[in-house]
Amino acid sequence: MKNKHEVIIVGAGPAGLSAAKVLADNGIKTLVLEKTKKGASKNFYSGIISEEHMKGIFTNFFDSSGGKIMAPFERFVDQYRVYILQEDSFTSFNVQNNKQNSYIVLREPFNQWLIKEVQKAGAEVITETAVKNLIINDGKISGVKTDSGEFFANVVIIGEGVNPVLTKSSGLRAGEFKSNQIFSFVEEDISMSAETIEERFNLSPFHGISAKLFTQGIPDMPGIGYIHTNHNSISIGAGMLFSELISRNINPNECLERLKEHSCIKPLIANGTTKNYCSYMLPVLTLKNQNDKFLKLFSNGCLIIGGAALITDMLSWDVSAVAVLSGKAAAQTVIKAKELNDYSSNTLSHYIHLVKAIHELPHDPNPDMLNNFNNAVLQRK
Amino acid sequence: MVKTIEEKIFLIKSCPDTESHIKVNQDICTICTGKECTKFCPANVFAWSPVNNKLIVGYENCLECGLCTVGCPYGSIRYEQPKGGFGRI
Repeated sequence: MKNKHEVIIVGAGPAGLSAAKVLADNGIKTLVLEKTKKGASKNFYSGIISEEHMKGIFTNFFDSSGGKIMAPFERFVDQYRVYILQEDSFTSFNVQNNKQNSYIVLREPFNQWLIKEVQKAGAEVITETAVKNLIINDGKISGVKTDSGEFFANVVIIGEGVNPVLTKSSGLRAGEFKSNQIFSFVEEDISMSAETIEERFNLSPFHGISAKLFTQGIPDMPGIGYIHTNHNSISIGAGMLFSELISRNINPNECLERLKEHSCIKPLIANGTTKNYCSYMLPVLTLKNQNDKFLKLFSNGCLIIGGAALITDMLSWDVSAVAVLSGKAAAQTVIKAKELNDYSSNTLSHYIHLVKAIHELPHDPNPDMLNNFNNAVLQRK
Repeated sequence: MVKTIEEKIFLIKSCPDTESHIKVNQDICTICTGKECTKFCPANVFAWSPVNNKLIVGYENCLECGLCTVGCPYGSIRYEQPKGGFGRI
């Protein structure tokens, strides 16, 4: 059959590329299809990567001596900081992290590095190719239809992120979120010199801060936000439960602008130049608290990973960690299916057990935590 | 520092298709009283034109977050994946 691979992965984000790397390392012929030029380029600009999960999958994360980090990063996470904002005052506290085991990355260069590693391991990555439909033969998903032809495989792994057009259109997810099941976020990347960042945040060179902001003390802004110090820019994001935003007639950008104007935040970003802006949603409805009827995590010849599978963890510091782990879990499931030469839903259902283990990690993201932030943060660190 | 959505959208790299990836049912939009989409969209993609009595969809500005299909109370907005290489690049 033309264009036949063992596995097709839809989406070159953290989940899909982690799956691809594990599969390719195990000699499985893998194809990654990505709609954009570079992958993961439309969501958040900045994020935290902890080496804990990453280094086991992307073994070149460090050089061969194990000392020097090879992946492109902005700064070490030196401090985790929590700001609790009131209307015109704030409280903050720091958790010092001297281990140099987590990193602030900009998604675009970091994702491109992941793609290169996946290619080096032997997987094929085709960009600027959008998957339109799944191909189903005799009740089994056997490939994908793209805008530049059809591709076939034993298993299709869907890692298309939190706006899962394919998952919905193919009926693997039953319908749309309700507006009280998601947070809407916007993020801005504001450039300024490395020296200015280090002075304002009291940092040594190459050291950085990852901050969570709890904004429910600001009138009409019962939400959360975050700040990451990149090398020579600051990423700042603001989010609110989407239903709250709609009922208050607020635009997500207004939410961010209010945050930028807050007396605590304003001096940190003063005289910076905005160079990027993006928007994304994160579900409060996660795999753990969803109704089984809403989403099928697996089907005959198909697995769903990362945001598309509601495997997200909004309050985590390393938001993509659970996506990475779900990609790895899907790859392990496929490796097992290959041994048995059986890609039916029966064999692929093994994935559920692996995914459940991911969600038993540290904590359960829950909207109640917005009213219980001390707990949320202290449990975590 | 930039503040408005319009200023921010101007900063973003994108490659709009000639055809919209967002389709709306004008029959529903016409009778919709809240027109929530014209307020919540972080890219101001949706604007109501009283002159033409229709919803204008400025899909070229779309950030591809998918909020529109969640936020429309009548399921009037259909969001499709932009073609490969189009939209946010």
